[in-house]
Amino acid sequence: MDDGLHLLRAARRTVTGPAALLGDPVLRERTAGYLADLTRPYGLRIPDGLFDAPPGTLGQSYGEMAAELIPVVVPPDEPVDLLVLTFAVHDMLPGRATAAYLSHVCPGGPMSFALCDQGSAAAFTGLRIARGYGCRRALLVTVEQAVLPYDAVVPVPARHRAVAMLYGTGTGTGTGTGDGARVTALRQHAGVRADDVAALAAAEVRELTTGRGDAAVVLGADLAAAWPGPGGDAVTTGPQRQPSTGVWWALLDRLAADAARPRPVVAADYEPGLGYLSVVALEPVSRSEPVGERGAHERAQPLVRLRGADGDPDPGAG
Amino acid sequence: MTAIDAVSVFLPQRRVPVESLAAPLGLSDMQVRLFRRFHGLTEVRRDPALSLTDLLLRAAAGLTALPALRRRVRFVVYGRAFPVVTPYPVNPLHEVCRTLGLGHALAFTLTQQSCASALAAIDVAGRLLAAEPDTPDGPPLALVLTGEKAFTRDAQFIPETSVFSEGSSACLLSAGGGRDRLLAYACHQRGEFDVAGGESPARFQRVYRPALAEVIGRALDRAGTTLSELRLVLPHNVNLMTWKRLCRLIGLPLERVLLDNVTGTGHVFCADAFVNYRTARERGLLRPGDRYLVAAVGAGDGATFAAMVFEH
Repeated sequence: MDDGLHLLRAARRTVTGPAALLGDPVLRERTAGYLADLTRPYGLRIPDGLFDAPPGTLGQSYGEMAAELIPVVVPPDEPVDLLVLTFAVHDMLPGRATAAYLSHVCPGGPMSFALCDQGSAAAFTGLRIARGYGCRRALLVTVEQAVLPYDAVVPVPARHRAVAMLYGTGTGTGTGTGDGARVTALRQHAGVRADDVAALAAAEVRELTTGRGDAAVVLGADLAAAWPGPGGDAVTTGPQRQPSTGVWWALLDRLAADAARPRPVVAADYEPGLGYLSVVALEPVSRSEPVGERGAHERAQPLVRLRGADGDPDPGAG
Repeated sequence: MTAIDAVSVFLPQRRVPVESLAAPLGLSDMQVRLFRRFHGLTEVRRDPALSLTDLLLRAAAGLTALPALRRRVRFVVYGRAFPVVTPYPVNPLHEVCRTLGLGHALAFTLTQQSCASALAAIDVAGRLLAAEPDTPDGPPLALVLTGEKAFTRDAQFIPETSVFSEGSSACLLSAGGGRDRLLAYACHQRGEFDVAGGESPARFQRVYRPALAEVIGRALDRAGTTLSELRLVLPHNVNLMTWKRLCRLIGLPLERVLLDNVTGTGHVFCADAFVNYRTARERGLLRPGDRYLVAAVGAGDGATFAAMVFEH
């Protein structure tokens, strides 16, 4: 019996509309006070009139972004045991225990928490923790918004985006969608200098794809910039300036593109600010099936179902 | 089995009477009297001169074994009540790791369970350790940190309920140590009390103690022990009245709850468990083989009730 975690379903979204909660004047005032106290010791300034602006320009609520994806990937009869929310850039309700709320709206009322202060490595850490829980199903949601409500001179994500991935044990999950892609390896390296990441990433990918000539490689944009390995069709690069969601967004693209002929995938990303290299390997469960045993209608279906519209006004831009 | 190998706590020396909080927080005399007389909260620790990084480093400095063991530390997990405490990308956790020579460890913050986040951090760190191979220097270790500044109104007090102290803790965890072994953990979240959940604060007050009692019972069941077998309960320092009432509800003698720190320290966010553990050790209240329970409630937006049972 295979007791490892499998990526069963996924959904993603680019958010363009306003956060409903930020239309509440009480919450806006509370957020304004919180952010003023947050930034004051660091000499940062919140733009005048920011909280007089329409909600659509103010920023996002990660609770709303994640809550919209949960019903897309988690049917009511498939209770989740663990929910991990990960982010780097905070949202516009920074004092809120969003993960606790998400537990309330997720089937199964799972144990939930958020991981942060780890940049793009946090989602990989969330998956690593999920593997350690030995749970039937774990929901990993990574989110990022494209604004900071103060004048910090740092790059922010290009768009408000969220990716939700439902992982579960390969058998007995009752999904009726096949067993997805099994997580076969998950490695993280800390303290990796920019000068060293290319060689280390290449070595990891080489080791995880040895003997698998058909394996695909998915790289976050920050790692792709340093990538020394072969390119071409085998390598998919995540969108620029989406440091938290980018590699997962591209992974889902890769899995969808390979729906007819699933193949192993290694996805990796580098967090340049904090020095983390994270690598995950996935193996389609039905890969050993001889070609032709899957019917034509089955080959048209991805092993990992990407559900829901992207809601991306400009999908071609990644 | 996850075990706590060492614990260190830091509390600022500077004591602030609850009366001094009245003007800056706009509290009435009645509210102040409620804290002091009804809830037994008389003063808190605050030091504006200490940054969050300072707090975390001072707690870590109390782990005298850490410098010699640092190469075995594979994980640094920061359990924090408030999800965002610095502007992005300011990162006190990684500043602390660099200062302590822990740049080789995987470091992250676990949050959004409010003041129950520390117990989840211990649980997660233990699970990561269990899957981690030995280091060249010996079995892997995790450093679990807590620590917060009372930097904003919500981090200074909970209306009619509690007042917060600044402080921090650091503890070393192993997967096979024998000193304080984690027997069981239970956690129950009530996200309906979030701002988007629709439930009223009044209902939260009604479910608070029954929910905490339920999660304590579940932790005891999982540990295969009973309330009567516990040597001690290390509470969250929310106030005295909550624990008096909870003890009546579950039939626990109040003298088995270590409430020494409520009056003079108040609620130290996620660090209460470790503050109280230190006091229990200093007072010689734990003997080898004793079982004790740690309770925590995260009551920000949304609520998390959690309990752990340890064997000393």
